[in-house]
Amino acid sequence: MINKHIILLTLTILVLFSQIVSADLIPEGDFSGTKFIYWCYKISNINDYPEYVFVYPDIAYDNKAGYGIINNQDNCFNFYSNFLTNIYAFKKTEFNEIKTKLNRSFFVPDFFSDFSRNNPGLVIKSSDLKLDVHQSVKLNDPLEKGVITLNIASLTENNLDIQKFKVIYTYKDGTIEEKVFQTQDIVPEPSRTAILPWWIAQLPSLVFYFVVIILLWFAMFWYILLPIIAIVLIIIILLLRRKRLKK
Amino acid sequence: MSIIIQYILALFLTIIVEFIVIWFFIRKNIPKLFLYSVLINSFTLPLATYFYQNILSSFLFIEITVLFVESFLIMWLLEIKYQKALLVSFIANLITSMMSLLLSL
Repeated sequence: MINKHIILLTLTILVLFSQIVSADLIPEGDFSGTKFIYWCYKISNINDYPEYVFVYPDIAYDNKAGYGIINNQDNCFNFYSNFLTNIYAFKKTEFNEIKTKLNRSFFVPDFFSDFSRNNPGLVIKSSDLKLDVHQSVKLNDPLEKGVITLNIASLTENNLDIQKFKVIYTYKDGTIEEKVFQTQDIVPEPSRTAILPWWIAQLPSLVFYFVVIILLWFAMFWYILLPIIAIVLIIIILLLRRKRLKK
Repeated sequence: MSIIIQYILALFLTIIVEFIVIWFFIRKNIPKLFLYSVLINSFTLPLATYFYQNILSSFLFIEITVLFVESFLIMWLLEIKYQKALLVSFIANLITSMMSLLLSL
């Protein structure tokens, strides 16, 4: 029975160590005490501008284009980089032609910049929508998701003014909280945050791992070290005695 | 945790019982006899447990093997004749195995 325990403990320890190693590489998960919050953006009044196509820079890999199209007001999108947080509006009539060039482009943000410089009026770049959001929170934080709702304040041939309107927080228990932006640069804080340290919530599993480690060390001591120490001491006693007798 | 305590308690009881048996036959130098009992049992008990749980679940075979291994260790450590060492080992192991059987019931 103990043997089964030992095998189970060994496997658990291996799993535990592999988790620690991956936690070291990816700073997220049980052992870093943090978790990532999913953030995305929506444009609430995008349907009011049917003659435009709204595009944001995205990650290009394999067959995936390096941009994303915001289709409707329910489309929740992400900026792949914290430094490329602009939205581009194209005239729908021009977009198909631009799209071909866009698909061939290696780095879409560069293409956007060059294209808007060379073709004024065809593409309108929004102001920087960069926001300092909490990408990671304590592991026991009730927050799960944040959705930032944007509003198109004005769209002319030269200017796309997008304003941050509100943030919708979704908590672990499914409750939702809405907070309206007071200033454009500061994200309203969620009302519910973790009060206790992250490891309090993890205490039962930490205790379990602690017990597992103790049992494993004991098993190693019991089955390997103790008999080795005992037999080595017996041999030493016998050798010393033999040496003494020879004298 | 209770597993650890059980193992340590089993070793402690075996050491005490075997020490008393050895002392009954060889009444000299009590600390030395106790040390020998500790060393002999620290060597045989963990290995016997391991063999019983992993390799051969025959209690009788394991006990007989332990009996012979301990008889040689007693002979060498206590510098007594093999017949006497075997007798000491036999009685000590008989008592401890009876105890372990009784405790496991």
